[in-house]
Amino acid sequence: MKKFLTLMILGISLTSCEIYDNDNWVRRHEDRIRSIASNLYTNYGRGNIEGMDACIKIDDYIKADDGGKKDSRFSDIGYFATDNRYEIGNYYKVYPDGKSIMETGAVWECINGYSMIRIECIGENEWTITPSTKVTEEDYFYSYMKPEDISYSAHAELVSKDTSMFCRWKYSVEGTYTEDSTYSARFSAEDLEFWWQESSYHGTVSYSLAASGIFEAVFRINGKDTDRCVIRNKGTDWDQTVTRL
Amino acid sequence: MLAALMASISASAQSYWIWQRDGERARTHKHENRAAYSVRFGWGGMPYPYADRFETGRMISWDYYDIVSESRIAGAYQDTYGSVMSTGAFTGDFNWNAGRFINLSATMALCPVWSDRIDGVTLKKNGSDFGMAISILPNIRIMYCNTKKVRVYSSVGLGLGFYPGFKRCEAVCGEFQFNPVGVEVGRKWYGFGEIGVGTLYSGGRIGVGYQFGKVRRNHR
Repeated sequence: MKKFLTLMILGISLTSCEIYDNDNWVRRHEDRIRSIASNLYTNYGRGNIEGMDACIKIDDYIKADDGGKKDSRFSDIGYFATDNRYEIGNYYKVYPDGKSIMETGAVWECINGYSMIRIECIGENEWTITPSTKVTEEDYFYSYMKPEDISYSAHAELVSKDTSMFCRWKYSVEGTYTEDSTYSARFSAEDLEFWWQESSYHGTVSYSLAASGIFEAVFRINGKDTDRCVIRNKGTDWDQTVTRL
Repeated sequence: MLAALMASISASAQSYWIWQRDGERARTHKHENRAAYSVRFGWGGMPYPYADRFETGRMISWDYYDIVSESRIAGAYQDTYGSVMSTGAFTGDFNWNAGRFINLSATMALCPVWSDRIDGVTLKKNGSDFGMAISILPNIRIMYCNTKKVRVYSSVGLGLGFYPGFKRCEAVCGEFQFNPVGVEVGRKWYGFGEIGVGTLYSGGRIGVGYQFGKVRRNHR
């Protein structure tokens, strides 16, 4: 009987076991930080340039003569709605101000799924980008980052534009996402470069926005820096590194 | 020759009748000497994957607001937990030897479950969470062999479970356990082993038991 009990106790000790493996909480935390940093980058890095890029193309379309307009793909997918708003599908809403976006002092606004921007031309091929003033609740219905939580200022420079309207951009941004009085994140990028990269898949040619340079987000709790996430762009791909501060 | 054959058949028949009678007596004797009751204490593993009820339900939620909460900065810094551990179920049974082929029993099982609590900001352990899965199951046992020394059976039980300390669970849950094969070996004190699947354990259970009382003699 003693042997049996000893064996039983030994068996229980050996078989006390893990019923759910969850020892990777550091990695899980880092994954969440990466995810939020990605959202900030997608909205206020790439997203702003996509909006900017669309405005340049629409500006070209507006300036084109009737023949040029007819040839433009915008004649099929875009239209002027009321209040002089230009819409592309249900995705882009662009508010020209009557001036060409290339004209110093012109102020346009562009709202798409990622970004809601106010663009002001400050010189030849240079713009400042700030949050849009024309955002409605339905524009950010699916985003947990509300416009009132975001403040930023960005600078975009059109480096080149080829005949197919593929633009190459230089972009810098600095801003803050304040979730509440406790949690916030500062984000910044200096001289990011964006361009359109052609790719072919089973004979279908498509163009993706590629980038080089670094986007950084620093997360803060009660004003104290806690984590830094660095996004390194590698063309159409990027990698992310999270560092504890 | 014929007389010899008849005598041989007659002797064989008589022997067979005596063998049958003695066998029946022996079997009746064994049956009538079965203990009326027994109590058993055992341990069963692997435990039911209680982790989902204990801590982790939030992680697999597809609720929109949970996903949004996970996506916010506050979600990245909320307290979390480490691996969920358990010893397996410690069980106690009371068994009534109701008949040669049917036994009735009641099982109570206690299954401790715990995990480390992790501070979401420092990412260091700052305590532990502890819960206990308590199950009460009436069982019916089908006896394939039911003697004082050896018993072989299958059993099935349905009952209720209570989960103090669990975060993602109803106060009371339905429980079940099916054991296709179980064996008890021994007289007064005995050991037992069984395999099964259910909310008490999935795998095996071993333990010791004690028989007492006598089945009332059958005077047929």
